[in-house]
Amino acid sequence: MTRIRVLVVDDEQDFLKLIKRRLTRRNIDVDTVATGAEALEFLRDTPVDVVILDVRMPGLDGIETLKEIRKRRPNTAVIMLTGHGSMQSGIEGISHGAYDYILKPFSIDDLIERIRAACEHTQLRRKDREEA
Amino acid sequence: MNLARARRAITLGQYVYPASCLAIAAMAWERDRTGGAATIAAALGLAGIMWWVLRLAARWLGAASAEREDIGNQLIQSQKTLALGEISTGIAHEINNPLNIIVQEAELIRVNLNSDPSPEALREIRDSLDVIDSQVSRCSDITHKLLDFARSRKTVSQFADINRLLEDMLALVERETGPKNIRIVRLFDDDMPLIKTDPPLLRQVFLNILINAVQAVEKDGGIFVTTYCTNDRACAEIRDTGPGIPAQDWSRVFNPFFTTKPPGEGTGLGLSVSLRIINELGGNITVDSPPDKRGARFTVCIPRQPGR
Ligand SMILES: Nc1ncnc2c1ncn2[C@@H]1O[C@H](COP(=O)(O)OP(=O)(O)OP(=O)(O)O)[C@@H](O)[C@H]1O
Ligand SMILES: [Mg+2]
Repeated sequence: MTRIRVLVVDDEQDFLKLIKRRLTRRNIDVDTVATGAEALEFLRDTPVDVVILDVRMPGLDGIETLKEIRKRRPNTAVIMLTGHGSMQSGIEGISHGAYDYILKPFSIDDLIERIRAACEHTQLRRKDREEA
Repeated sequence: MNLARARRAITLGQYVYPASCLAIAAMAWERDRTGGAATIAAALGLAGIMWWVLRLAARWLGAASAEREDIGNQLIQSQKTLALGEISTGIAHEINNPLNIIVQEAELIRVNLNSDPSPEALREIRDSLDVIDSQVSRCSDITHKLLDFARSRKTVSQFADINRLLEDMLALVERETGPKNIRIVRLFDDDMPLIKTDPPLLRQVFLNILINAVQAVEKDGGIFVTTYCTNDRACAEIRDTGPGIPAQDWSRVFNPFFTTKPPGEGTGLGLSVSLRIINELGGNITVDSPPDKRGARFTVCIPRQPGR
């Protein structure tokens, strides 16, 4: 199995540092950026399997970033992350093609399980498309 | 009309058939003593008449069922026209409201720019631009939903735990139901098998139905979420204590743009998108009222094995 590559987008530096350490220890390749614009910039040159995206960020917000990612990189799964999720932002994210929604606080095992599922989903889709 | 004739012929046949059998038996018995071609001819004649009666009945039945199909098609066609009417007025209404506001604000900006604008006027212009911005995003929200509705999705089959998917969406919903004193009761079947389905699409459907339930209850009530399995299907039932849906609207709630919510609050696309998704997953959504209770009940069923 190839290693999973993840990009985490959040404006909280402490959180980024922590999650990078924890995921790396579990054999997942992690990059981190602090804003939506940086995420798009990063993705232009480097494909990843899964993007973990905070819903509320200054500048380009989570939903806007999600829309752009889905447009430019349809083979990348996006998991939305939120500390204060509302139903409306939830349905907005999901209808714009977010694979999953995670509420903070979450356990690292739970996150990893969802990353794996998201990854599998895009791989299956890619395979379907190639067969078609 | 054909149906009535065919029914009459078959009723007749019901008596004629045993009668002719009896007659043939009688003749065969008689034949032991007398024998002869006359008896055989009579038996053949009877059989012939029987054949003719039944054949006629079959033809009438065929014509009747064709007639019925025709009427059914006409009915579907007229329902489609009705739905199309609802869609058109829906789009027009949803887009015209924001357009109207945009036009007014643009006019206001023009007035404010006429003479050298004072700081006061400049502030008003900025406000106008903000309003225009938000109205444009309201429009694009509607077109997004429409496209989402029309889009045919490539579904992917992945093992998923229905209880878990529901639980995730309930966690989102519960942040808003708590303060409104809406109780969420989970009645999950603990033995639900893993289902091969498309998890993100299913999440979208569950969340749509749950949001409707929260909006229907408003405050002080309950939402009951049940899961169960039948031989070939996995089902989730979402029931609420809101005002319910009158029976004559049960099929209309799935039409695009059918909404009873004030403009800006509901576009009437949630359920139509959900039904489309579930159909693409090979399942169905039904709505009714729980027996002798108030409120609405939505049941989502999908096949346990995809492609069945
Ligand atoms: N749980 C419910 N109780 C009562 N009425 C309901 C319920 N769910 C749906 N309805 C009725 O069905 C209509 C259509 O629902 P649908 O989700 O398709 O659109 P909406 O909720 O009005 O708007 P949108 O979902 O696009 O924001 C609603 O306006 C409401 O009248
Ligand atoms: Mg709705």
